[in-house]
Amino acid sequence: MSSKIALENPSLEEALEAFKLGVSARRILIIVGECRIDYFGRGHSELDYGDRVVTIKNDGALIIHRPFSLEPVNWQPSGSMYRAYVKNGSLIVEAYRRRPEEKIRVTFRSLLFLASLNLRDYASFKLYTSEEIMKKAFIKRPEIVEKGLRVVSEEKKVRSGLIDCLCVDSNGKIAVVEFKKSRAGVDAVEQLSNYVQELRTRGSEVRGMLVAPSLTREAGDKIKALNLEFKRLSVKKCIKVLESTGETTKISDFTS
Amino acid sequence: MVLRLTMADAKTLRNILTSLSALVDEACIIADEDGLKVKAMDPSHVAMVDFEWSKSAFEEFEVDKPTTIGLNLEETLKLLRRMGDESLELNFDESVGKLEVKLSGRYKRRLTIPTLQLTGEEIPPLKIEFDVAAKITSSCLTRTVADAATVSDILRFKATADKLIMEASGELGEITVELDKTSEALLDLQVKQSCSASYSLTFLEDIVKSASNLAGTVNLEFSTDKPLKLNFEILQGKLVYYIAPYVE
Repeated sequence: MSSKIALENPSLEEALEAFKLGVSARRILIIVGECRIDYFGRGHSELDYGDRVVTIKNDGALIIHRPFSLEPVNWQPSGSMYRAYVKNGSLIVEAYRRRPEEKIRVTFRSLLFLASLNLRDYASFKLYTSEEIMKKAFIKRPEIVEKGLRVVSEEKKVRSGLIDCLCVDSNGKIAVVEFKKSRAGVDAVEQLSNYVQELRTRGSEVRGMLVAPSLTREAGDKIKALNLEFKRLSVKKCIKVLESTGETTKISDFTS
Repeated sequence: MVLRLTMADAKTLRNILTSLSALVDEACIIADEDGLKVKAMDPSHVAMVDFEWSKSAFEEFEVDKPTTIGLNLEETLKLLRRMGDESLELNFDESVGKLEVKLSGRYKRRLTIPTLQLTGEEIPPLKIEFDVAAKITSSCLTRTVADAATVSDILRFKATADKLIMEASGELGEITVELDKTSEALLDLQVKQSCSASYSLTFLEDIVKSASNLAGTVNLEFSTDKPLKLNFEILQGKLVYYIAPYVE
């Protein structure tokens, strides 16, 4: 069987045939046509004839969209079962489920388009927290915090916890970088100080940088007292950095 | 004595060292019969400086044999911070490893600067054909870079047959500087073909701020997605910077 079927202005019978084959083969079905929608279940609703896009996913989920608006006008969750037949010059598609008992009946009186698609998607969706966004942008372009910084390791486990980013600055000094998505307070400074202290005992000079959009006054005072540093960075700017598709190159890319 | 040089205006030396410090904190200065040379890349290898000072730039210049002087620029500049209208005599003895600087102005003073053992990195030459060569005033470049840095991290250079455009945009706004044959700031423009390229303002700011004190004009050359070459016209020498492009 081919992996895609696309029919323009199909007859009701053609559409019925493609629909039955598609559902049994667990295809994604997209049906566009003039239809009315009746819902029976926890309540009852009717939507008179109009052009709509009906999508049936490979797991039985149903979504019906009108030509406008973000939200679908009707839907049914995954696991719904289907029946389709031609009656009185219309193609009727019914989606139903048992618990709770619900049924949506879509009555098509004409069809504009039908697609039956075999689609593959195994990617995992990742929604990043604000601090993950800051770290990701920093790793992509460390100069947004300071020119010459180089990331050595992330999520470095030390006795006092987990360091966001362990870096080396342009002078070769070790720098601990901690990110906070909102105004940083004294506890953030103390956390950073603990990391820096732990690394300082190993001999060399260690810098501590707290990267955040802003600082409380107490945090600012404490940073000065503990010889640590504050670098201003907003989450919004980080998102822009991640959005840009460009890349900084190196001079060595161009030498003979 | 391995190296001895004198110059009438000590400030020029300080400005040169400040320019070099835009890229590196430590410089490996090579002194030979031609003069002084420094070739260095910044630690992240995004920018490079190629500096030469001919011995004719100095009142007196003697060197026994090719020598390398390693300097911590930050520390050296701190010592040379206060410089008025003074003349300078510099002596370097390799066996002692210290740089002796004698300054004579309203009164005489002597500074001793420790030197470092540095191994200079071998930097192979850059062989690039540039499509655009423009000569502009360094004050124009300095102001453009300073303005652009308020809105963005990247400065885009574009050239067409008769225009040089520098632009930057960000959340806070957009800056565009357009120079054509009628602009006073544009002294020359040769364009083989239209092109555009973008460079980091972080580097441009540091470089342009210090180098503009040394030269009134700068030759800039670039091609699409190739490094930017900034050649500051200094007397009896060359001060050339290369910045790697930001590629979309």
